[in-house]
Amino acid sequence: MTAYLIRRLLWLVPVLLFVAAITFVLMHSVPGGPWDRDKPLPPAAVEQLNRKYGLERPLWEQFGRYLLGLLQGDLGVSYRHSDRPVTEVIGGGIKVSATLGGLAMLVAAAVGVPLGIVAALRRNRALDYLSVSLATLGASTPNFVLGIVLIVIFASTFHLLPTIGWGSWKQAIMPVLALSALPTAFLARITRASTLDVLQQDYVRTAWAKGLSVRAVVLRHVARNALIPVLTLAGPLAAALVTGSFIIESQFAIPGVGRAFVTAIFGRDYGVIMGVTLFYALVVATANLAVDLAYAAADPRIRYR
Amino acid sequence: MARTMMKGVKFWALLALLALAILGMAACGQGDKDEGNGVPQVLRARIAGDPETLDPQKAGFATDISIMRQLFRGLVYFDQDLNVVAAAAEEVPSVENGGISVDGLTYNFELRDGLEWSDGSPLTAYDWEYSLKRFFDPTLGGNQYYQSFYYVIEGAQEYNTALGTPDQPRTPTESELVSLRDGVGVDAVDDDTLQIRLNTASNTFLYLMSLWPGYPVKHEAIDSLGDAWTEAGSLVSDGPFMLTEWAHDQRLVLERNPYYWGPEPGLERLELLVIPDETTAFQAYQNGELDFTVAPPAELQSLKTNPEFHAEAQLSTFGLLFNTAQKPFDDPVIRKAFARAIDRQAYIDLVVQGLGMPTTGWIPPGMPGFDPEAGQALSFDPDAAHSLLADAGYPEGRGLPDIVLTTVSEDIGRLSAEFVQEQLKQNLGVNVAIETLDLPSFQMRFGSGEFQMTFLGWNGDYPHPENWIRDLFYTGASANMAGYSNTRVDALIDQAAAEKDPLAAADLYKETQRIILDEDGVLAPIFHGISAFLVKPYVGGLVFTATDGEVRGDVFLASPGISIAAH
Repeated sequence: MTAYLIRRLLWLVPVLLFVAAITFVLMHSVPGGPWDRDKPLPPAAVEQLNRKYGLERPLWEQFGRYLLGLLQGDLGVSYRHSDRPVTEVIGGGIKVSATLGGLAMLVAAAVGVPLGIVAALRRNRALDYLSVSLATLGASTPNFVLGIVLIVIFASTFHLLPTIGWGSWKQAIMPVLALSALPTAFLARITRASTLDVLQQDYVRTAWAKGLSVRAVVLRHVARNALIPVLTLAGPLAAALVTGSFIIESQFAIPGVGRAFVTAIFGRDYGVIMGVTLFYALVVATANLAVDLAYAAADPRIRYR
Repeated sequence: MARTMMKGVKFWALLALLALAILGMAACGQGDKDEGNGVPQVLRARIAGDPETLDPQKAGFATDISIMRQLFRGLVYFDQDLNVVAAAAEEVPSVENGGISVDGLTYNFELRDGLEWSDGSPLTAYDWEYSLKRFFDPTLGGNQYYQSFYYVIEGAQEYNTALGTPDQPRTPTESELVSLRDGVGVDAVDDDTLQIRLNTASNTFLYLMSLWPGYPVKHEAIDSLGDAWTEAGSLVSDGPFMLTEWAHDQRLVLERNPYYWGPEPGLERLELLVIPDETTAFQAYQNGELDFTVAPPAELQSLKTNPEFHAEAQLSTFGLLFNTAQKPFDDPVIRKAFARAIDRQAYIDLVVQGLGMPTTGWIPPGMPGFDPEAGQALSFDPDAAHSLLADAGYPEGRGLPDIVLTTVSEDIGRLSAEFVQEQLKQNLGVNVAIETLDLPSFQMRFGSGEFQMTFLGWNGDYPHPENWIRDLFYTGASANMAGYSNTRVDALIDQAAAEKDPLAAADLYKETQRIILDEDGVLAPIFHGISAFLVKPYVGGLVFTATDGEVRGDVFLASPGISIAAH
């Protein structure tokens, strides 16, 4: 198990390197640069800035220097924000997005999974139809539409919640709800399908036949087995959520990393683009690893060597 | 299975209870506002993005300028009619009061007594000397577009361009740089007197001194903190407000500076919230979280009758710019034919929802040199446009090469391009293709002059026609992307710059504009901008000027007359 973990962690290095190289090349092949302004800078001034930041060197050399810095934990500086270190520019945003996405994931898991199990247990009954309709609605409503609906109800009409900013729990309610609708619906659907599958299994019939209580059957025999496919999907889902949603962050003026990323792309802020992309890659890779480890915990048949 | 049913019901009941509890708590939280007689004098306004920098010698963006205007004060400033008035200086230097030498080359600014930084330390002429020389430091990474405005100062250009050009890079030694720096004609004579020497007499120098590059920065703070000196808690400034909080990408909080020499601002506190999305800002405004925001274009029709709606003319002009260095627009007759095919009033109605003044002139009203008759030869007239096109050798557009209109992929650019495309087809029978680029790609292409036809929106950097004519139309000027060159125009611009009588100078600019538009048709002006925004009725005493930055009213946000009534 330990050997497996170490092997997987070592694999992260080539993965990140590959992502870094691809991003670096793509980013520099897009026209425009960080010094383009409404009122154009004279070529001499652009040259001067390029020299200051080493942007006039050949691409491979720039990349080499970047990697060297990376090894020392130095992600460079933001070209757009008066030389603030990239770690500082995106660090705050990562915390905000991770909190927002983490809360949304919690809501999704806390609502979606029970909803799916209950729907499966009450298959083709009123509760099932209600759950499936909610899931369909949640899955087909874009999160910004839900965001607008929430704003109209809780802000414009009843003035109960603030529409902008981040920091207090009141500011978190609407964005978390808007962001969690889709994953909730998604988890509910997967959970329902996999629960239905498990309910047909012989061992479940045996469990009922043994005269076990509903609680024991559902929690010990059904839920645990039904959750394996859910886990598989929950990993990437969580990764997508904690890395920030540009749309929700813009809609509620939340200083998250999703917004910072898009701003950086439009500003050709190379350092920030690289930093955020590497962070995304790291989160996705880690989430996949966590899922694999969670399999072993959920299913005794799975062993890693 | 009955028990499962019960469980289900309990689960939903619990969820419903939870939802109610959350709502209840939210409702309770609303009451925690400051009540009683003293209404907090706080103004909450929206800014579209986190400032790039609040370093006066590096900045150049509208947002950054709006904020620096609150934090800093230069030697001179503007009054409500945009005349230059004394600020940290005792009086505006003039030849009469001996502040300007008779040849117009030497300026002496006498500082007010007892000036202090926001940390209570003394602020002297030496601080201005340091700051102005720092502005030209070629290693600073400042904005050379603005630096070049100030090349009229002795030695400024030599120091600023010490690193050479891309073709001829230079690597001066440390001591060479120091001597170039010392050669900049800005010197503190004593604690209270700053002397500035110019290469040539200038009738706009005092305007330039009232802009942000002339704000003082504290040497010691920059030496000890480096780039981080602009953060809240470190930023030392000399203006009516000081920076007390800067949560990046979220908000800036400014509070009164107790050491400011001038009258105490009416506002105790200014909160600037970073909200990139206009619609989000509008919703926050409606929900009472903002006192001040821009009116989103999509809502204009319904907002126009709202008493909170304001529309203020801006010193800005938007027009269609032709690349005079490329075929077919190297021929002024074709440029004029295109210019005459555009119905400005239709543009105002259809594209900008009535928020603009149709025009054929370039220099906007409210500025010396404004000329209501300018550009008459470019006014909308489809028949004239047709015959001009025939005169140029392309009757009904036959034989014209492919023409591309390049624009930014934002709403206004795209809509304007589609409008112009339709107008040219309808009124001139010419088909043009549209090319949309994202902003950095566009800026790169525009900056290198790689376009045939594009839109040019110009916001004045300072309220003087020089900024509207020289920087755009002088041969080889920094923003002359149309590749335009006319020796008569160059001569008139030089003459206007040397003219001491402001009225005579304005006439010279008028004449220059006539040549650029009516004779040469370098661009087809379409409209002068009007900015639309919303202010809550309880905010009193705001003063708007045509040179306001991103936060409307920013030039006078520190005025004692601003008050927040109970609401």
